Amino acid sequence: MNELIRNPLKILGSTTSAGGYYQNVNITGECQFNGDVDCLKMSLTGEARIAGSLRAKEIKITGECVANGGIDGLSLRGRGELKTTAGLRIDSIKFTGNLDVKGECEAEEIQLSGAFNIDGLLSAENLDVSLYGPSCAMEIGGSRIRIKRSKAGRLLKLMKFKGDVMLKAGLIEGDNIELQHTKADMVRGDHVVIGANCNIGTVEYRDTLEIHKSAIVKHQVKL
Amino acid sequence: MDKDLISKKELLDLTGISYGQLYRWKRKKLIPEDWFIRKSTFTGQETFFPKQTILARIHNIINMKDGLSLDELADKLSDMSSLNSTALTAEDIVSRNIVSQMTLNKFGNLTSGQSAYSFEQLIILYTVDYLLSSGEMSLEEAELLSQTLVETAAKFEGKSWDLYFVRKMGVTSFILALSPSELVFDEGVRLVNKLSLGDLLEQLKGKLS
Repeated sequence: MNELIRNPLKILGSTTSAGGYYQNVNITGECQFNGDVDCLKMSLTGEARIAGSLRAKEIKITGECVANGGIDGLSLRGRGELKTTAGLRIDSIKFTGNLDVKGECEAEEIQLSGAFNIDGLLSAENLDVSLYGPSCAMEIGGSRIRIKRSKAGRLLKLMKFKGDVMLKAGLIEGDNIELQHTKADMVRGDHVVIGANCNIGTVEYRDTLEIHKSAIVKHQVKL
Repeated sequence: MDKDLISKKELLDLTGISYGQLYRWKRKKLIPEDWFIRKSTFTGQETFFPKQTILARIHNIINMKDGLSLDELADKLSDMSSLNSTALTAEDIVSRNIVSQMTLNKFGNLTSGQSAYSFEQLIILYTVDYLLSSGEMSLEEAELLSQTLVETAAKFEGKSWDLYFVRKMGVTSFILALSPSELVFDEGVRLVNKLSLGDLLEQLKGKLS
């Protein structure tokens, strides 16, 4: 295969671009891409709208990034809002803010402070979420899953921030699961800890189960 | 006719793997997306897998994963080129229990100048042997199947096919269709068995590695 020529792209202010192959993409301001973007490193301060998919080794966001396609990469860092309509596949995610994914969200490491809205499967080796707002996912799967509510989440609730700071999920499966403030139909795992304010339909566990006194678990089954 | 399915829970119990491993393999594309079959049961949503295929695949992954990274493994499992170049002698085939001696004697006539069986020939022998040993097929029918496969399987040029084995009023037919396919028959037709190349390959891969 021919080696692609990758040029850097620097944007200050407000622009549109056709998209394409780039080395480093630096955006300060606002940019609209009318096609797929493939780059080595994307640093964004401000807002980017991509009409296609985004593929980048490193993604660093302060602000908002909306892709009308999938986002693939090795690492995602930053704070703000990330929206995609066709799945998110990134090795390591460390993000503060809101993740909005249509399709599947796959990662090895996810450390998220904020909220997420995933219309599909959220799959990660290590998932560590500190909830700041109402979140939902159809399915969550992985080996270590930890959901807790941040202290700030409680403050936001007092200020009548949109809806309860709760995670709603259909199915949660993992080896080690720790949940707080979660409403789920089904939880399956080896070691399961159901923390404060959970409402779980059925818990199936293999080894251990702990239930906080303020949590509701309708059925529990030891396998 | 539905293939045997296995639920995720049973699969984990049976193979001793964990949820983490299963999801990791799915992320690494070691287990294809379309093997995950979602169905609602009385306990809520459950995920099922085609039993034979997934068990063979997990067996392959566990046996091969020592010394290989998951990415290399994914390449290897989806890579057919190494398999296509395998050649086995008659003794190998019988000693590894891939195809029974009887089938081999009857249908494994090597063309002159050939000392080993190619992978394509193995698939055909394996298919014939599988149906014969299940007791669904008579020897004359096996003859017809072997001939059909030898003549037509190459036409698919490496694409996956499904084999339909049907009988109507005592007359047997074999139908090969590009998979995934869905055939509808008239009332008098009885579908004896349906095999897909994907399943056969998976089982064969397991026996070879």
